[in-house]
Amino acid sequence: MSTVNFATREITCKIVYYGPGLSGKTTNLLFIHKKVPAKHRSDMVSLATDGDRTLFFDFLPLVTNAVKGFSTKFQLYTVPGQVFYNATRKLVLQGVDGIVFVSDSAWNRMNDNHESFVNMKENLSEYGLTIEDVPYVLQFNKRDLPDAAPVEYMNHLLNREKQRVPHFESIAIRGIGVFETLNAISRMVLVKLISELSQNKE
Amino acid sequence: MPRHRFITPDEQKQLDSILRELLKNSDAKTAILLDHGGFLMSTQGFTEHIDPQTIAVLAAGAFSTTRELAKMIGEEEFTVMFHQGRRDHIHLSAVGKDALLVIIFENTTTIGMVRLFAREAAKKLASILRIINQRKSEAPMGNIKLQQ
Amino acid sequence: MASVKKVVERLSQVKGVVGSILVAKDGLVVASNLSVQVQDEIVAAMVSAVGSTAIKATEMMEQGELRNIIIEGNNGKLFLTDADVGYLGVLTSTEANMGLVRLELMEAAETLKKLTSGAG
Repeated sequence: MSTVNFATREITCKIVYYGPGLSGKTTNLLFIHKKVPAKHRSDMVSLATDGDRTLFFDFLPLVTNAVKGFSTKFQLYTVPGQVFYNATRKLVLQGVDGIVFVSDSAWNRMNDNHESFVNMKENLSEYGLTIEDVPYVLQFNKRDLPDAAPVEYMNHLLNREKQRVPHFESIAIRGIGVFETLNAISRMVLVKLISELSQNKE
Repeated sequence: MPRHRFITPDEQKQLDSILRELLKNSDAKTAILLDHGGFLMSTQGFTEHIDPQTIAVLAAGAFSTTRELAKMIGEEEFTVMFHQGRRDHIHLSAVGKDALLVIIFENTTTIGMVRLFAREAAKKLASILRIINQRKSEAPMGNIKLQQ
Repeated sequence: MASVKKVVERLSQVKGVVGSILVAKDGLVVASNLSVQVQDEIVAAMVSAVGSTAIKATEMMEQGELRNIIIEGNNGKLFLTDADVGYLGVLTSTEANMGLVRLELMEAAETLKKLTSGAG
């Protein structure tokens, strides 16, 4: 749920990076944190286990001037990927405005990618949402793997809803494709927000 | 829950002043109003060396976690949480259906005092939030445009 | 405007009163001004136990609504009253003028009720 505050002239939106364990969600956020100047972001909060796996979520707030006359805040979250953390994964989805689905390009992770996507739809439905309600993009990460699955195949596997969505090839660890993905989803979220708001006006 | 939430300057002023009143009455240090998703709605009091946004996000996470715990033992939710430190303490309580109030206080006051005025503030805050959350169409949104 | 804390503190200044405390009905200290020898939490727990028993007792014995509780010891008294948000109590020495203490206690309880009318 976006919040529009007319007193502070702020719009706040929540973007969640979803996907199977070790697909590179946290890596995306770490790269964004590294590259965005400090005045446009706050510190990143990571609730991780000793083994560096996300336990609850990572959180990174960004400030942009994407909307005229408002400071636009994007709150980026990741979810824990492992199957058994579903309770927390569901909690992080609460109030989501946009999703980046980060998938792993390795052939042997295709099952995990697909399972995670199905799990995302299930968790959204707990909040009364379908995948059509929430803007999302697909990121095919780890394109540098020697056994990376073809993009066509990954699209065939994951991009098969009624509405086809943009996909981005990335190597998050080197920052390739990270900002393309972020720009696309933030734009989609704002376009949807603005169109819903102008509908409301009538 | 509505898809989007609008807060008018007047409502923001009311939320802010309820939190200030709460701090004055309870002798607490900082008060933060947020929703279950961790969105910050107001921060009042002492905020040096602390980051209210991060506190809000973590508090929302903590509250969600305990709510799941509550469900597991057959409770609907725990309405109050208290974290006791050596010098600083955090009182976390539910405000209406979808908001939370974080109060940070020192040993200069007591948990009983904070809880007393947190309840009073929560009632007032909830009635304003109800108005905010029911708003659908009258938002003055004509001037919102994407920057190129 | 008087604060809850000040109202409780002021009670301690009444002649013969050695300490005062406001305890939520479940036993949490709201405000206290006790000497160091008696611990807030212990007094609070006792006060809430005594208070709830006394309320039940007056009810069962058909004595109407509880007004005050007085506990007398060799060294002094504990005087309690119901202030809606909790039990307001004072500890007194043996020399205290109980008429005056009672008056001040009732007045403080009324002030507290006004101060906290929106809470509880």
